[in-house]
Amino acid sequence: MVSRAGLLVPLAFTGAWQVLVSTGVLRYDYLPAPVDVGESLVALTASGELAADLAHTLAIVVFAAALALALGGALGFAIGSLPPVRVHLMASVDFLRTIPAVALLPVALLQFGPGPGTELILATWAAQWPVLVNTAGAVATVPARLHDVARTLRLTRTKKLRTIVFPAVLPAWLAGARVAGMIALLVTVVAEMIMTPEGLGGGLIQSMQALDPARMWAYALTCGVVGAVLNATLRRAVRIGLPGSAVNLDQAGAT
Amino acid sequence: MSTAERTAVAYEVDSLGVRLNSTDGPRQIVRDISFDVAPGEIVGIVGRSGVGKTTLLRVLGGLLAPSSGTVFLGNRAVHGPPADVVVVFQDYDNALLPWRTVERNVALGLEGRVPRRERRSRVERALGLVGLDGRGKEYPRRLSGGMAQRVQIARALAVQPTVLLMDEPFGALDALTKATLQDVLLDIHAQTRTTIVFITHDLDEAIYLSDRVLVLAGAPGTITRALPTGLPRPRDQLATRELPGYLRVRHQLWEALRADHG
Repeated sequence: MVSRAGLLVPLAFTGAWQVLVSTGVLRYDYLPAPVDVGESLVALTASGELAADLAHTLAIVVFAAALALALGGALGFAIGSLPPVRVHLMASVDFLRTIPAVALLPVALLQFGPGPGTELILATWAAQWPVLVNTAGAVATVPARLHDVARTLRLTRTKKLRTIVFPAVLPAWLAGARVAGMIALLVTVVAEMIMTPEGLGGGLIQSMQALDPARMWAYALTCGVVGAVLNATLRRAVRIGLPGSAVNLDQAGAT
Repeated sequence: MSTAERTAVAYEVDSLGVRLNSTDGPRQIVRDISFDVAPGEIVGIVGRSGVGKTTLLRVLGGLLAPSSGTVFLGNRAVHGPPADVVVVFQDYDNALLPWRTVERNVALGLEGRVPRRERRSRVERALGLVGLDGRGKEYPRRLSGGMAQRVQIARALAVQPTVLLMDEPFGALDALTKATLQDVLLDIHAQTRTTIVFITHDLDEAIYLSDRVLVLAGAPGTITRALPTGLPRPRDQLATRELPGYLRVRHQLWEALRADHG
């Protein structure tokens, strides 16, 4: 994870920031000192606001990532293994996945109205693509030799899927899950900023409108921590789920 | 030919031809191939690269349908992979499942077909035949090339096939490992009497292992020579290769292959 040496830079940076602001060298109307941010964080935690916002955002992110895993996995599997499906769907997939999900935010807002449901739809939509593309690619590139092996051992279709194709695709699917988690977080926070007063995104926007920079920074910091923890958790899950798999290490490292 | 006569042969290949679609239209890969294989026989097929050896073996294994001619296994025509034939591939790296242990790789063809207890004993026996006793819990990634190829052979043996088809089984191994595995294969044959058809570009390997060597040559490929080796068993890496009979067969095969300017 993070080495001790790696903590030096942020600590030094925060220290310098504190010194520069409190000695008056840095003078901006809306730049709080780290100590003020810390006080805000404590106040937000004590009032329960932060916990509520965090729970709101996290619930949507986790739910969206899970949906994206199921949806992207199923679609990717179909596209990778059934040539007619690939022929008909791949062009649409390539177009749709390149639309920035935040560009669809106003569309979704008008279509589905503001609320957690719309956040979930948008986050799932955006998060499914890396899972889909990874899965489809992995299914299509299962070594031809393994299909020969399945045939010469006369494995049934379901047996082949279960013992050869699924395990061969699993690492790529899980590598997609990591990216999906991060994308779901990003889209959820943006969606909350635009449409709901809830969640971390809502907290950020309200603090900005209330001209309370310390509180705003506290929310931003929380978003960063959520991202880091989410990434580390997913990475760990992949590692535990697939011990010693070189495929896993290569692909997880690359994304 | 009557049914009674047919059962006396393991394989009966008649006027076999294969056309495959390549980028520049259909191409005849092999043509007019006819030969028999007797039960328990070891037949080696030699030929230059690209002459159609692998194509021929895939047809025998039911992995590829012929364009013309027939292939009979015993008294049944081959359509798709037959129940008692298993193909062993050259590229053990791709042919083994890296996420399964050695013993679970070997059990692959038995799962859902053979009760657990029998499965275990068959896996154990197959591992014993290839000299991998006690290595069942390891993962293929941690094995050397020769060991990995033994696993693939064990996986084939576990289903107790009457015919083993091998596509350049030792082609990717170094000379010493190759010699060891050749003797492992001959031991297996002595114990199980499994019919073995293998292809190789190594003339000496073909003679050393086989009762009969077929030369596949020309374009499209066809069988231009079939030579019984007539060498006594058990064979020995040194003594067998120094026999006058060995050298005579080697000479004849070289001439047959030299005539084929590939």
